[in-house]
Amino acid sequence: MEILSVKNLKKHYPQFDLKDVSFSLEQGYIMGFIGSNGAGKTTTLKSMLGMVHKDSGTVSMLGMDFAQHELEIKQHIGFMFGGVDYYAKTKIRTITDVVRRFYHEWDDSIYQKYMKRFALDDNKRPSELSSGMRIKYSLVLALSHRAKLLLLDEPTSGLDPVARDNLLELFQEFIEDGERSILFSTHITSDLEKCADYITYIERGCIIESRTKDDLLQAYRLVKGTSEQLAPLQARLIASKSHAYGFSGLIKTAELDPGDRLEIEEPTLEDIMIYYAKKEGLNE
Amino acid sequence: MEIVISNTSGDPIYQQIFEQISAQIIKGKLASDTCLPPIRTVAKELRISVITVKRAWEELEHAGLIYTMAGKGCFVTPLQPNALDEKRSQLASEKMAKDMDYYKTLGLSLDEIIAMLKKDYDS
Amino acid sequence: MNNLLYKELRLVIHPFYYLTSLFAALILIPYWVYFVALMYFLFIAIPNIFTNAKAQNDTGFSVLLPVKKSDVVKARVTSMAALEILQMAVAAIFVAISVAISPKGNVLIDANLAYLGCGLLLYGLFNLFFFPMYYKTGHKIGIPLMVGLTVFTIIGGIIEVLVVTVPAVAKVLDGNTPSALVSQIPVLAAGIALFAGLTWLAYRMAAKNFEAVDL
Repeated sequence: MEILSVKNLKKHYPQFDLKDVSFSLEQGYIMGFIGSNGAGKTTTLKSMLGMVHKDSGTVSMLGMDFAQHELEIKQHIGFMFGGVDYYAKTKIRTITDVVRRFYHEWDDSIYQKYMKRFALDDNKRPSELSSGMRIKYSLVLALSHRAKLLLLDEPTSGLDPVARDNLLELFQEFIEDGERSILFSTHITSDLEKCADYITYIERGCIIESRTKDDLLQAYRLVKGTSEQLAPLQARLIASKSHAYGFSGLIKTAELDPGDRLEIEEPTLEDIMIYYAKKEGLNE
Repeated sequence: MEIVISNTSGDPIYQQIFEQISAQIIKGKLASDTCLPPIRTVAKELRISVITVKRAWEELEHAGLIYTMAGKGCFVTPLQPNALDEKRSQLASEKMAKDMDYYKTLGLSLDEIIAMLKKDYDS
Repeated sequence: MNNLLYKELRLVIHPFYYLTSLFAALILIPYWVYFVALMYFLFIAIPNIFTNAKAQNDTGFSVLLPVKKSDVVKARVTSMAALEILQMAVAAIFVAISVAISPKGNVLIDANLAYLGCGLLLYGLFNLFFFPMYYKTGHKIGIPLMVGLTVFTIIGGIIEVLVVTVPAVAKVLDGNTPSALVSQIPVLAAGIALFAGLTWLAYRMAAKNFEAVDL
């Protein structure tokens, strides 16, 4: 079952356009939402949640149209933009006491379980927590109201490698029962190489790819060769980088010719992003 | 069941899983009708995508090494010793066929390939 | 909605601001501009509560909750109106004390029922200007507050001037004798009705403005 579907989402800003953003996510999977800074990740997430007014397009979650069933959907999803950045001087206990009242399916035993597991002390205040702890606390809030879908904007940025690893482990645990899904945006693609099932890649407000991570990585190849090899190949490359002794470039696997005699490697997500950004002229 | 994933081997992860489990089945380390762990648990334990594990399981099923019982999971197919041998040569020849294409593009002759295989097998 | 009001009480409004209602004690000063006693709430409580809410990213917190955007506005307007009513209730107590201890009256409007009615009207007008302007952004408080205070001051000033210069107005609004109650009870009633009506209108306009804001 599709737990999330975004169709033809458009939003116009004077400096930036979200152009026809469409993608969908099945129940039971993790989707990574990648793109450079300013590519439109946060705007997409905010438009999906009605925090930013979209110009057109439809969003549905848990099988319901978001615009028509906003409150019901919000009962069953969790979302966060960074960690807890509100009520920094208020005791977590008090914040929780407020939040729990809003959810029909709030479960105190789940709350206690995760607070304990993450070694979170609810006598502390958000200002006394590390950024990893703040993110964990907002996850605890989402888990405690039994969210079926998590929409997370940059949950891993600002975390040290150990904290990131812990978090990713938790994400995989979250989807293990096959009922729940996570969409999370990040520009740290190594996080996704590990656990993501699907990747949606946005650049300059356009979705460039949205498919399984395995397929995506198989669809591209990193090629390296000498300067003479570059000229005839150029038209087929997505983008290339020349250096004093040769070049490297990204190519669609389907465009490869066995006669090319190039050094061929499987790219990482980061490689794909770097070459697409180069194509879009983003890093010039 | 043991699975060890290498991120530098160059083989896709689903392929590595497929090869390791098929070897364990053919060598009898995974007995007939053994229940394989759920796909999602394997993904979580190995810290890889659910879809990758699913793909490996599909390949195993396609090769006739495991079978699925709806709602119960996947089990090792009971195979007679001669059927096992057959699977073994089938898997090996499939893999070899792939490698052979590569050797051919490198322009190696059959004798050269055999000589190299012998050398590698003995070492 | 009740949950959002609970949120306002637990997280947004520091209990200290209930105490600003005690500025109504200034009503005990003889010969004074009594409307000023009601302005401390607008000088102290409103700006502090709103800037604190902004510093604590209350809007960021509220949009995460399963609530309508208009209810976020409703909860804030309701809780501020409740504080204004608290302020008026405390003022009423000091009006009663003032009448009992210094029945001589005032050059300007007396501390009486009509004063309370006019005070409610002034709060209603403040709300009508302040909330819709504030919720055009949801975070900028400076100009809305200045406009609200200006409206309060001008209308309050006009009432004072009329009480002093127009005998017919003074007859209705001024005085603190039991006989003055006859004309003042309707003024108080009108004040209550206008406060409720203007505040409701303020909420409707504010909610509409906030709906259009991209967060």
